[in-house]
Amino acid sequence: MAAITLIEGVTQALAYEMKHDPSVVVLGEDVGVNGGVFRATQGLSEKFGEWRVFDTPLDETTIAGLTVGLAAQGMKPVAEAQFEGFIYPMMEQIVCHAARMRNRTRGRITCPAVFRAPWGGGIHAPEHHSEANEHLFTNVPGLRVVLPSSPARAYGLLLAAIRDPDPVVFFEPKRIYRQYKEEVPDDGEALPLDVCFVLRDGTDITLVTWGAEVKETLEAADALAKEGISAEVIDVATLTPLDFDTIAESVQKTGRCVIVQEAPKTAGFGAEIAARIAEECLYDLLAPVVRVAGWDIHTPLFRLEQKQLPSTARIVAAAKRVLAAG
Amino acid sequence: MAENKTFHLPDLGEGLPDATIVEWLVKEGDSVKLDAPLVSMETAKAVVEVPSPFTGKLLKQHGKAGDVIVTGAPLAEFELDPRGKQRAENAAGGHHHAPTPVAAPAPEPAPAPAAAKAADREDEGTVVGAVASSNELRTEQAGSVGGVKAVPAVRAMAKKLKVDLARVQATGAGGVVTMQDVKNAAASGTASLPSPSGRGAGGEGSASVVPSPGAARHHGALGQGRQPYPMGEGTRSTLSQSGKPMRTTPPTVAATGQPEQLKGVRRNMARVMAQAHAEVVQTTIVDDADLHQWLGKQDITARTIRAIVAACKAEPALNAWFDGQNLTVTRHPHVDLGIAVDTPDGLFVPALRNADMLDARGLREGINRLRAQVEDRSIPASELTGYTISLSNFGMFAGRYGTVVVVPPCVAIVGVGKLSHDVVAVMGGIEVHRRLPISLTFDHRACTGGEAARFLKVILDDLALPQ
Repeated sequence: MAAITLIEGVTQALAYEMKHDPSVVVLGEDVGVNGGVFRATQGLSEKFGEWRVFDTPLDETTIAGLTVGLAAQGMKPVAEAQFEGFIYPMMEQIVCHAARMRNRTRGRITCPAVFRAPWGGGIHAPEHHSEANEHLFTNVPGLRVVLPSSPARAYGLLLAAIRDPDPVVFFEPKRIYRQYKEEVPDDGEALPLDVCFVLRDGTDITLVTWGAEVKETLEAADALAKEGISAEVIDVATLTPLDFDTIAESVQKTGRCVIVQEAPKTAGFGAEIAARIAEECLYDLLAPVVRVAGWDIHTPLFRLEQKQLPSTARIVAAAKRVLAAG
Repeated sequence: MAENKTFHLPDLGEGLPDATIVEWLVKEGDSVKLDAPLVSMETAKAVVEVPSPFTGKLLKQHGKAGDVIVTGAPLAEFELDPRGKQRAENAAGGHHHAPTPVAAPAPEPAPAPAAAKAADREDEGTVVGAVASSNELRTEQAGSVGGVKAVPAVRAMAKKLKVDLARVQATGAGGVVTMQDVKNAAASGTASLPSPSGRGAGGEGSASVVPSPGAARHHGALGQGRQPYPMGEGTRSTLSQSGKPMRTTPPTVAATGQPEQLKGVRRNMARVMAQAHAEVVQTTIVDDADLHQWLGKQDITARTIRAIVAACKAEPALNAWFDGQNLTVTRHPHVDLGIAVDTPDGLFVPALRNADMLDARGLREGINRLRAQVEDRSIPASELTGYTISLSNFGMFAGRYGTVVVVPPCVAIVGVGKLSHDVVAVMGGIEVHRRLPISLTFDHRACTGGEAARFLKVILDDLALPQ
């Protein structure tokens, strides 16, 4: 069993599934010879040849259209957008075709495609390379939106995404691509989609998050623990369809909830979770639900980007505000 | 001993071959902090400030204002400050195509060792920006909820497979529940949770997991537990997924369905019934027809229609149309009988024309024809109006007596209930007779109670005849 980083989890999952399922193909800009802008597809071209791992023109619309076509005709394409900020040209194909294929054909054709994209900020990248835009996809029926937050979850959830008969938007938090390593057996075991992962058990407050912010949220839970506050940490992992049961149960237990999201606050996915809590758990709440999120601005360039990302300190402060409120 | 580092010019745009130094913002020998502006450079796209990649002292500038530096070639030498904040290893950022042949037309050619270093540098795993990296090894710890030890992935799998972790046989070291334990429990169905509320996929995705066989199903009373979405398998439970009673109770019993716009026949029925209710002064009288004298098997519906026709002849006031606006009554010499037909799409009332002229066989054929036309929707709209009195045979399903609705302009409707065997008191004792419950609803604006009762009596008498 090798100790691997999150991005190596992605590579390992792709390699495993390509080896065991000849219908899996990988396409995107520079995914072949170059091995991908972040090296996610490193070595796949040598292993599986250019028919299974192919470089496309610099044209996201084509990549996505090709992916929908391949998927509709029985292949299992895994398309890469080099950055989440370049996925917008793909949206027409993803939203208007991939997400609707099953419904449009009344179940005759599904669209077993995966659209991968490095996601989020914090790597000193230029404009368009640091966005958190998952909420643009969570509102689209027929799409799964998945955000792994650890090497093991990157491996297990990507395998599940490729095997799923419906389209998955798979956002990889690039800030933690190589942050640490984890022992992940390359045994082809998928992790379950559509359920949250409870990373810490707690009784005083529920911290709900996803993606790269899992790191800061766990740090915040540790900081709170030093003060005797027991925080439950939930990694949503699959945003849509949302496993609200896990969140609801936790909120019923703790009575308090802080939602942490990297994306701008207004109308982000945290708003959906907060609304569901208001609809279904109001009488369990001891304090208002609080969101710690990015500011409502374009992701700033590197000198200010750390100020955009919800920091451990901001999460801790929000948790204390909530605890003080009731 | 402080470490020295060479900073190579990163790609300042995307795929730019080189950049020109505009101005050094830090002098050789000065100290600089990580990310502080180091030098401003002009590319084909813009003038950008390049931040310092290290905290430390700037030992050497590889070029001065106006010099062109090739992407990937050395730009500056640093002596690192061991106490200063440095970026994580391998996070220097920058663009690393294949090693760039250093052929910069720089006045001071880069020293060969540095160029060689540029070529041999380790791949940092990104073309844009700087991805922090480390070799730190982490493992996710097993948490223990309710005394059950399991790592997050195992708990997530248990949730997905609807397995109650508390009842899983743990085989892991120190009593930890393993992934295999959960899968075994799911396969054997030994630790199934009650199905959670049908909260489900917003997507069309079909879960690739088969619910464990024999999953217990608890149906909570309406209003208990959280309201499920009307989708997926809407089984509901009063227990949370951890098996604890749910504490949240909604403020009111919320409807769980989506409001659906009525269409077509049902929409028409709603309008017509509301109008009838608003206008008609409905009065109902009920009694039972005794079929004890019947000879052999007979067509109950045909006999009922014959009885209605006889009643219409005896009491024409009920075979009429009433105009409430102008207060006029139109009595009909013929009987066009509206027959209520129930369909999944709603209520149809086709007219059996000239019921007073048909014999038993003619009535039966007419009824069958109308039913078939209603079922395959071939009935013309003209055949759904203009009846003079109507019949609702709700007893086909259930029910004895009922206030069936008089739809204007008609003034009467006969409801036939379920045939039953009743104990009847007769001279000299009791007998069991077959009886047919008859309900007559009439519009009291248009006819008197006496007329209605006499009408009902004719029906009962006609139905009581042997054949």
